[in-house]
Amino acid sequence: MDFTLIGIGGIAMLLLLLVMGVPLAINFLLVGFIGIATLLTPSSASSLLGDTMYTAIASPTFTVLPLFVLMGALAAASGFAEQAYKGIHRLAARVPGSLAVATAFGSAAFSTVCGSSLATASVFGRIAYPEMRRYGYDKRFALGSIACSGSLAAMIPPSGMFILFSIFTGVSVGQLFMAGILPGILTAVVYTLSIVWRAKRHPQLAPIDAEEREVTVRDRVRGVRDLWQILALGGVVIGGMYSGLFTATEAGAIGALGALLLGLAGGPLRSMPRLRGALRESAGITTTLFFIIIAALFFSRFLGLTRIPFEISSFMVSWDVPSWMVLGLILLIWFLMGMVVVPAAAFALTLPIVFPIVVELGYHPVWFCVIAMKMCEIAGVTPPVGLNAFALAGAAGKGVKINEVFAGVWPFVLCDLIVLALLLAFPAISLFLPETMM
Amino acid sequence: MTLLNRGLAELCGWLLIVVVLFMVVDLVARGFSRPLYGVSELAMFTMIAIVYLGLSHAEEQDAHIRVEWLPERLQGVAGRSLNGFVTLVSLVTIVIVGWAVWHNAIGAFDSRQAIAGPRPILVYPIKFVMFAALALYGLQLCRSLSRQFRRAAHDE
Amino acid sequence: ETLTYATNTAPNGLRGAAEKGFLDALNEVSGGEIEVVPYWGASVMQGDEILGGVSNGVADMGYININYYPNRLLLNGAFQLFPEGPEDYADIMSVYHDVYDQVPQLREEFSQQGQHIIYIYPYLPYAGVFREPVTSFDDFRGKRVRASSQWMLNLLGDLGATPVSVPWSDTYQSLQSGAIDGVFTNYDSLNRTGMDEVAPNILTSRRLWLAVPMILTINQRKWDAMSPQMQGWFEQAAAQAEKTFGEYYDNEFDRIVKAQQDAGYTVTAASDEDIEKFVSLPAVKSNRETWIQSAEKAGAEKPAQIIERMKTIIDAGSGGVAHD
Ligand code: NA
Ligand code: NA
Repeated sequence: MDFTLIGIGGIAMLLLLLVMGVPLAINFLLVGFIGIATLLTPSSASSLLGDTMYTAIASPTFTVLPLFVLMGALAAASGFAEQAYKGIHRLAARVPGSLAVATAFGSAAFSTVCGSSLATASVFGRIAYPEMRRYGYDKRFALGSIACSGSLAAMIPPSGMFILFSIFTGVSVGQLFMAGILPGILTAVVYTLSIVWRAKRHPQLAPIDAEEREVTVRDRVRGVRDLWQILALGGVVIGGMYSGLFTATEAGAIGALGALLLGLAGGPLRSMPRLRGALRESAGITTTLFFIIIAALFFSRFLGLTRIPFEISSFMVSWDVPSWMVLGLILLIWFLMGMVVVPAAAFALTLPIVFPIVVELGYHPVWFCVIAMKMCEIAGVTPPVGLNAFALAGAAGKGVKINEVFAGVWPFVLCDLIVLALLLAFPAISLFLPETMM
Repeated sequence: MTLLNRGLAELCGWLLIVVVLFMVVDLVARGFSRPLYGVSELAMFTMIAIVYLGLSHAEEQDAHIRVEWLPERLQGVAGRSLNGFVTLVSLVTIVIVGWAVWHNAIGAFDSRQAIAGPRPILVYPIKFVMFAALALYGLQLCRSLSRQFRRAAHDE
Repeated sequence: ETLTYATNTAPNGLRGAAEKGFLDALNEVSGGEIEVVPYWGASVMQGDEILGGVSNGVADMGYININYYPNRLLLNGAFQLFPEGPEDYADIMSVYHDVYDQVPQLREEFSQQGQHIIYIYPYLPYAGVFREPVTSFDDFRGKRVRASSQWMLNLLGDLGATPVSVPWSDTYQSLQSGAIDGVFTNYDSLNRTGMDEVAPNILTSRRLWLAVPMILTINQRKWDAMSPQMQGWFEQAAAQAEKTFGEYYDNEFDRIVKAQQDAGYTVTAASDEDIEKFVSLPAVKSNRETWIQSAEKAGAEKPAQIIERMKTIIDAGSGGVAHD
């Protein structure tokens, strides 16, 4: 049977089972297995499946994810996440959508230690989501802002994805890290503008309550005090990492330990049921999220084996059209691929083929990697396969459905597309720092 | 079974604290120029155990992430059949996955598969843990399936 | 015939040049009869899955890094017990060919894993990058240095360094922030990932060869089912690719040295007496003893003899100077 046909059939089956309500991980595993068994043999499929179930997460790099999830759950259980959002609410009273803005910049700050979008989306899903809901924020609006802000972790250094790009392209990690800073900040700024504008036009998205209208300057100053615990924790984690006391992975452990100690000192976590609840919850999020990560990787491998990405990219680069059209096509294909496979796999499958061509066409390698990263951020939140959205749905609790997250991300994806256009139009945004600092 | 699931979920939570402690110990040891071999691998194995041991509990709690748009809109027999179908698909998948992991674990045991590192660390124990957890997940799915059948029969 | 190939590298850089070179040569010498679909960049299998994947038919051919399989390719791992080796590409390749021809147990180990060796290429030598000035192995004392192989970590320990094993993805950041002081691995990787930007003190020498050969294999059943003509194409392709890659390889070391010096980094060539010291560290001997013990435990026959034979070949290839 034709390889391409099997690939298309696999995607169709995936979508069908998805709509029927089959759990995502099960869906990926089953369709991937049937697909590979058809392409190769059942025994090859079973061999790759058995391997993937272990190797997909058997990397010290992944250890950091549950640690940050734990940090988020402990911070929420200790009550200082609630206090911090109360503080921000008071400090930024009458600013439309202030909590969503705080979440965007909080995510950006957290991104300076955490290179994983999934971890960031999980942490803020646990910390920010209940608080935004407490102040009457619209569910989808809140979820969309968290899911998309989470992807800043990949653009702002350190970033696991940039390291992957470096390996594929031979561009130095340092240059890529430098190049990601301004686009990351730009994204946070564009999100902010969009949040404020939308909240102003539709006050029901982020209501301003009566209490807010009466806030005095003294109240605002008092709001700053509510932030001390979260600032202390962030300070230790960020400071410790940048001063070389610990590595990025260890930062997760230090963050979790710090949240635990603060919670014990403050009192709330001395309650055993409360501590046990937070631990159970973190383990639960870890289980459901990693099961999807493993399964999505297996499905991506199936798509790789169908050779579809290889054929498309090879066709594209052999096509005799103007260079901007080649670039446009690459972006379109990434956008579509990002919908159904995990970002890391989408790039592993295509970057080796398209990168040399793009460079030959005269595009700057560092700039191209930043563009690729932007596409990667978008891929992380778009349905049906958006790992950030899954991570958030898992972390935000039982009342949150994955379709609600996807419904909320579109306005932010639009922001991403605007940022993408800016990055395409002004390469200097990406290239200024690497060219002046290195 | 419910007790076992809940107990494992609780255990997974505490194992997270164990991972934190492993990493802190590793960090402190390096600070004193006395690196401990294998601590980060141990943390990694613990994490894999957390992921797999929680699967059965997540199934019982209906916590596995899925799109609930259609199931929410179907009522009565259609809704029940759909749920039954979904559980059955899950069971078949987990049987396949369990089978693959079992073979992989046997292979890892026979070939003494190890992680390259200061001291090669054998990986088969964690693979058998993975298998056991998947088997438990499969049992839980059987349980859900039989419960759904009984409820359907009762309603007839 | 269309064959699939799984690897964890991208088709650029030193490894890309070697592997793509072979695949292209295969297509060329077969007059287009053999076409290869490559799965670059671990898109279908990670580095440590490829051995099993090729034997189970997930891909027809694959890249095998011996280091990833400490027990499954235990005997092949013996290469790492020889810290000093030949400097020139031609000499390195002839050592590899001689070893695989004269020590049948090594090929045997690959057949046990259901695969047949079709191409071999070398890595660039070892190099260390450090945040602070390092001009000899004495300067390693007290520094936290990342390396990956167990045998190299033992050598670093003997030098008084603190060997650490930070995950590869954390390494750049850790080097930049000072969580670690240096990284000791192959020269090509260090330069490509830009570790030298944040740790611009480099110590290396062509004599510090990275002993382990990079191996390309094909599924044994697939190989056995091929006509002698097809098998011949593989041999021709290997010979042709070996020649082409040789030119690339010979320039690459000097190119990196020059690029680093142009960027203002300090590149020190380890002195002869320094290397002398390095290759006679106690860990060299104890590594071999440990290896022989574990090989005996795994049921290998006379592993000490394998070491002896490899030593003879490597010493002859390095110019006949015998150490330790
Ligand atoms: Na980051
Ligand atoms: Na997506």
